[in-house]
Amino acid sequence: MKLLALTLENFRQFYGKQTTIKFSPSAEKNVNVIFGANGAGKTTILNAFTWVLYRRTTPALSNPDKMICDRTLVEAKKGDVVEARVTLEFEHDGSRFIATRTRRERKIGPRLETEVLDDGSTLALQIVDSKGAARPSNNPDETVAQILPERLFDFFFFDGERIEHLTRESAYKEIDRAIKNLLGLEILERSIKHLEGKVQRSLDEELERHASKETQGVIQRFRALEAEIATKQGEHETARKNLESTRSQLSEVKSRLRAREESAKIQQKIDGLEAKSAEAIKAISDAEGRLAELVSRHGYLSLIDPLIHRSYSVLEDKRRKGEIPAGIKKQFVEDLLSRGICICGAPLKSGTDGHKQVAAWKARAGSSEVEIAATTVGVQFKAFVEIRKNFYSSLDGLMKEKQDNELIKKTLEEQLSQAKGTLDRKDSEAVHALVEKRNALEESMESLIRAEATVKRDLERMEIEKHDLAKLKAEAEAKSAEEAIVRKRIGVLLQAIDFFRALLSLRSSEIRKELDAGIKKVYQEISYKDYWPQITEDYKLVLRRGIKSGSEEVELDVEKGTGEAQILSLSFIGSIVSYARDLLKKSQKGTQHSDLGFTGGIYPIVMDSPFGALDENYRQAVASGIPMLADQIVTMVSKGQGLGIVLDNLKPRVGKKYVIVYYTTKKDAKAEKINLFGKEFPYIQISKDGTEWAQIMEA
Amino acid sequence: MAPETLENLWAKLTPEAQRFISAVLQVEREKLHMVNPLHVNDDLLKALKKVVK
Repeated sequence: MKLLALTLENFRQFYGKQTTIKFSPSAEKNVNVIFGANGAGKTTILNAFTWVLYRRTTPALSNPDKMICDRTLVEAKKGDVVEARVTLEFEHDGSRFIATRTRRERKIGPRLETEVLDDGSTLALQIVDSKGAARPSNNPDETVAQILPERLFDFFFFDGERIEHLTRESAYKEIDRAIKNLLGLEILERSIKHLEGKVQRSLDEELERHASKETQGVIQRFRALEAEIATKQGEHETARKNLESTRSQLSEVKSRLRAREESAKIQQKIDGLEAKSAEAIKAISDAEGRLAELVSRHGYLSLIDPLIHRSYSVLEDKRRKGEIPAGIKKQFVEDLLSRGICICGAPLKSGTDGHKQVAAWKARAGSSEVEIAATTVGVQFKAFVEIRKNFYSSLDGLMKEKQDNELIKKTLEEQLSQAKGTLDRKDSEAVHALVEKRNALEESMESLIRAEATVKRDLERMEIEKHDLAKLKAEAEAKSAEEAIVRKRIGVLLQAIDFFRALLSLRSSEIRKELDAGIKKVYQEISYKDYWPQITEDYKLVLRRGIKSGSEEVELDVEKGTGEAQILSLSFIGSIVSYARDLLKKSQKGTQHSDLGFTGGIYPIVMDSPFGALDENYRQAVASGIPMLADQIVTMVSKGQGLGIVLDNLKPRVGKKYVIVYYTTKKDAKAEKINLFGKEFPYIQISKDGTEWAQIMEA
Repeated sequence: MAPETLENLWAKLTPEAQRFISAVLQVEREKLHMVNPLHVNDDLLKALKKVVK
């Protein structure tokens, strides 16, 4: 989606048909800046986008039902019909679109009383092709939803001062949703949901009509299991939410302990010890995992040891006695008997003494198979000794690694207990209260973690059983031609479900890693602090830093101030926009898997007041970083936020600039001007007709 | 073991499963952004029956 132009007419405080805001088409000068005083209409412009496309407004907009300009209503006569209109022109996928939404009201009283004739629920959408021919869209809402789904709109059109909410712990679902929606994973999730749901049930029912009693039993168990899984998933979600909420409260308490002068030092020490303890626990778990793998792969060696030794000594005994290798082979004797001629040339007729004597050699002759086996066992025995030696050596190594880490963990736990005790003994009621709260929360966390893990394990076990049952159903023997075809369909369906699951997991992991790298790059270019951002495996947006703890450096989460949180959120959006754009380029070249739905796209970023809550250092950093966030940037700023360091940094990239001239009714107000690149423009004017209104002008 | 790739996953499928997956994606893509998508499951079932007759 590339924005081309926005026209407002009697929309909110904008009186009459306004100068069209034309967005810069240049890739080098991709920033569009709209200046306006507080209350002049910056948030209204952001809402013009939301209203024209989806007929909704953002929480920051006051009186959201009031769409028509007061001045227009004052000037209208009783009975007149007045209209507020927003027209947005944009480009997408080679076509041009003109979206218009209009609200109509009739004036029914002497003041501002109106009746609504059309609440603007119908969107008019014209599609203009490359030759300039226009046609109306038959389903405008759906067309807009395909270009930019409403649920994703907030990621690209937002109130800059509120954007930091993406860094809160509770925002992981939004992050997850953005990644999945924008980068083509939602289609995989939906495919799985539909195929596993009604499609599979419908086939199961069909199969049940044709199937044997045994198969019917499997189907019934499968369905019961599906219901049990759904219940368990609910339990898991509740357990996870409880855990999340407690974790967030605990983090808040720790942060308060860090903020208090009397407890800050000890709390930081506790943070360091906890981080190290977590590392030790992970190392123990890793060692246990590797131990389990080693034992499952080579553990049999300890059980078959006596057998191998016995076989080897039996063969060695035979070798000592000269039974292997034998001089005459059984096969050779059989060949002589079958040919009927001895090696001396005498005939070997059945029943004769000669025949009997040669046949007697069969019992004494050696078998070539036995000799080959003897040689093989000899070679394998040596390899076996080597493998067993390595197995025991790896086992010892891993056991030692585990024990060492258990010792480290124990030492750290003792230090932690000591540090916590020191904090507990602090002569401060406030610290005491926080420590008590922390203790209670930590205790609660432990039981919640156990509860969540139990439910998760149950769920995993049930999923495995479900998977096995599904295969059992598909593999059961067909009793009829109809059953066979339904079974074949189920087989294909299961293959498809497995494929989508594997692909979803593969793509989620790849995309998270690529976005993580992207966000690190964007953040480090913008921020001047030695922190690094991270998208965790559970889609949390965190900021990390390294601290020295003894001789080692440990990583810790950074308590984010508004500035860091805002930059972190902007970096995340920037990395998504950039990844989606790269994906589009690749899919257009046919190098990506566009047939699997990963087509990417181009998205603009429209921000209202992104500099409001930032100090000067961050303003400069954000201003220099903004142009690289997306191909097209639109930002609304006040004089206080946007002039000086912000405009100086943005200047080389500014393609278009507009000013919202605000007409105030305040009697003692002074008119103000704004100076942009050496030219002066009206900024605040005194209203002469007693109404408050605004006007857009190009600067 | 070599890391799993899309190509590996695709190669392991039977031709019928490959055809069905393409049809599923086609149906899902068409209905992804619909406000009230209708008959998704019916369309998927039809696609499966068309692939495995």
